[in-house]
Amino acid sequence: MTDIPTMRPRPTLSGPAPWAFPAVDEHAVEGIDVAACHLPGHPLVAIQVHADIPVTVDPAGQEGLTALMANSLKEGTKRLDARAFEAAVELLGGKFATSAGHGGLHAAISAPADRIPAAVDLLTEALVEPRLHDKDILRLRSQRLDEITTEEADPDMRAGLLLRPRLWEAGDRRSIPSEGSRETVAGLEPDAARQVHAAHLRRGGTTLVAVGDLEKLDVDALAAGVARALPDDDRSRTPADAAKPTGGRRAVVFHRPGAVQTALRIGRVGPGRDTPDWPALMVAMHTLGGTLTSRLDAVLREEKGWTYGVRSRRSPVRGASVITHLSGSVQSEVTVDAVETAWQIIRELAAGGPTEEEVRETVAYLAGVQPLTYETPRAVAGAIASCLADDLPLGHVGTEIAALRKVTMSDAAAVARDHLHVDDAVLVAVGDAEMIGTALEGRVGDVEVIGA
Amino acid sequence: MTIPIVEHTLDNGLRVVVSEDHIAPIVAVNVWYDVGSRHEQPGLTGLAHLFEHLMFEGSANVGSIEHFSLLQEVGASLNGTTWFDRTNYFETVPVHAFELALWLEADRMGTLLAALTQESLDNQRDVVKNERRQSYDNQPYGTSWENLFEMLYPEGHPYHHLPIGSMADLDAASLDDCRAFFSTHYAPDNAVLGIAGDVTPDGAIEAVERYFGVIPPGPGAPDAPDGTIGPLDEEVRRVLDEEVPNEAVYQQYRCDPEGTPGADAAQVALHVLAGGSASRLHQRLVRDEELAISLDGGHQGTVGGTGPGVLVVHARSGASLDAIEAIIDEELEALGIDGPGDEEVARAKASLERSWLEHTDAVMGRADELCRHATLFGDAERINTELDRLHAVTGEAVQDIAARHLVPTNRAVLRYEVAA
Repeated sequence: MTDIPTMRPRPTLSGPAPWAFPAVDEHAVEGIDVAACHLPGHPLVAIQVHADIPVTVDPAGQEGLTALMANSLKEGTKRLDARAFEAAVELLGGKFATSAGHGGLHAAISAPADRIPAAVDLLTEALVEPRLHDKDILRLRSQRLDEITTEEADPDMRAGLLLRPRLWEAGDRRSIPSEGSRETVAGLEPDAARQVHAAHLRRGGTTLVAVGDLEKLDVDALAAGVARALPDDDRSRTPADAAKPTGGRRAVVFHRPGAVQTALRIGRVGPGRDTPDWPALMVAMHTLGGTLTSRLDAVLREEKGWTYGVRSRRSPVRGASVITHLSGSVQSEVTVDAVETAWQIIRELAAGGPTEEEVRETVAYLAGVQPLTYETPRAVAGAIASCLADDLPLGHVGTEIAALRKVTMSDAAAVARDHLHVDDAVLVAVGDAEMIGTALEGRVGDVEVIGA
Repeated sequence: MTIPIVEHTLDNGLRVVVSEDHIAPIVAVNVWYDVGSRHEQPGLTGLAHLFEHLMFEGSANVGSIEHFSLLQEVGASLNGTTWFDRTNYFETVPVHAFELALWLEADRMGTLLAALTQESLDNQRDVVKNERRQSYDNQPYGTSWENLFEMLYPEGHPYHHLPIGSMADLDAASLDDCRAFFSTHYAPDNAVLGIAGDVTPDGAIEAVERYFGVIPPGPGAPDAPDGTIGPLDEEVRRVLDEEVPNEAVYQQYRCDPEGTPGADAAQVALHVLAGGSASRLHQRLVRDEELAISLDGGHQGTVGGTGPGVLVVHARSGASLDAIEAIIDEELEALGIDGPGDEEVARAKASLERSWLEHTDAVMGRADELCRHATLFGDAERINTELDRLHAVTGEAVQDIAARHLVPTNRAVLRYEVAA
């Protein structure tokens, strides 16, 4: 063996440099809200316009309508056809995107600062004067159906699709993806898409977010341009729908004959990001499955080698959240062992909470990683957008980090007990049912097997 | 915008490239080892990538997964990746933890063999096999790239196989193979250390000297086999009847390697054809004919004598792959005969420039590019002429590449067909 050199001892570290989430300047311009955040030295500026068209406005049975309309905004304007519009965006060095969620409709463009006024003009044109031709809307509808086929064929995405309707009551919009399901998308009509645009797009409840090197930009002038283009209607923001979680513990197995891995999800409905529990929940969930050193990966990956890695996630959905205790794939042959092991690890955490050491390390990580997370304008704009989506003050990230730093072991234990228990958790397994179906019976509640 | 660069080489051969930037109190540390799957021996495919996993399992002074836990505790983001041409390890850290990052990288560069055990090898072999199952074998279209590289390059060519390797070779990898791999390739004179962020070049280089200076140089790593290869003279075609949601066609063309005017022209040509929704193929296949859900095009970025140009089209349900391929061929031919329009070239350049700005805006993107240019082209300063090379691409060059390289005889075509 080669000689091993003697290395220097591990360095002792000083404390971290002070850092704060960038200041967000919030004010109103001509009836819309403006949030501006100056981040000098970055080449691209991120602009977002959030319109108050949440997916909860979709009529029952037409879930996915708002998202289809949002997607159709990329298909050209009354002045420019789709190709000419996209070419104009690209020539500016820009990128244009739209999406729809529980927080509203979101149109974003980013470009080098000197081209932002022209880029915002294009965004405004797409948002306010979209073409919305039948042919394009119908094509996007069919494409969406093909995309659903693609999602269903992906074991991990299939697991996500199966989890959702088992977490929420059928009447809760959260039970169906924002983009709609196969059943609801098939019936969406162009007239209805145009109607949802006409009925809801307005000044009231609209926010323009600008993040980047704003030194040479007149953000208020940009906002005024957007505001004046919007219908003069000051109806305020649509409130969040009450969450209707389902109850009871259960399991579903989706049969994929011969699958070499089983995609797993374990989840339940959790509290909203606006609740005081949230910072401690961040800590407890990071302990469970935040990274490779988490309780789940330490056993399932690093000790057993059963998986490439699993993760825990908390995903806010305006007024509530989805707590995913576990998301990931395990080797088929060990599925039942992996589920039982994971279940045990989750129960232990829910019962006892994280250790003092885990709380200290996790808080240090979650607080310490902030300056990295919010390095670029795109990331800061994303953080502001997520606050908007959850009805939080736009500087909430700073408040949240401050609260996070104060999380104690007993806070984390209380939250783990209240929110990470598995009494009403849903287990989804997408894999070879012959290998896992019956073996799960009686261990994790009732087991529903699909497709066997 | 010029990216400031200071370079230094340690006595043991470690090349250090530092880019100072005080925008945020963070620093990116990136180590590129000049070893990827193209350096692997027959029967040992996947070894470079398996080894990447072992680099996180501890070294003389760092316990198993302590690399992760120590860095996480300071709020770092970190990982490693393996590609055809190189393996890299990187972390962005709050600046007070800069020396911790250097210490951890130095410890595993200098002393990994002190901690490498059969147990860690067996465990990470299982993890990698599960990575393979997850990303390739249990995923619709998951084996597309494996097929395409196998089809485009002959047995024995350095790009014939992917970094993930085969299950059989992963099973066969022994502790001695791993030790030999480390001793050959993981040496300071076979690595580049890129640093970007809130440090001064003098201070950073002094710290690098302190932590890495003691590591002896390696025996001299062998170059990868020469991958230089001319165009194909006949199309290679394969049809897979795997279970997939929608039919798809994947094409790879033998183009010039990254870092040549031919590759730059191919990148622009493929953007004109399939980059974004203003591209020719998007207009025809997605909008006009409604045959495709999505498409993509680009250059794979390999440097070893050849670089594949890629076109991927996922079909709408019920659409004919023959009709899709006929339209692709029409557009390829038209680009070769008439060349692109001026606006198309301008659009492609603006879009590719934007991607570059986005990538290098974050300190990690910058550190990665410093390493890429230093490792693969021997010149870190090349980072500052990247956009000049892009803007030097002419419509004539795009037309020429389309006519010579983006032709049916010079490609591998993989089709996924759904049984009726």
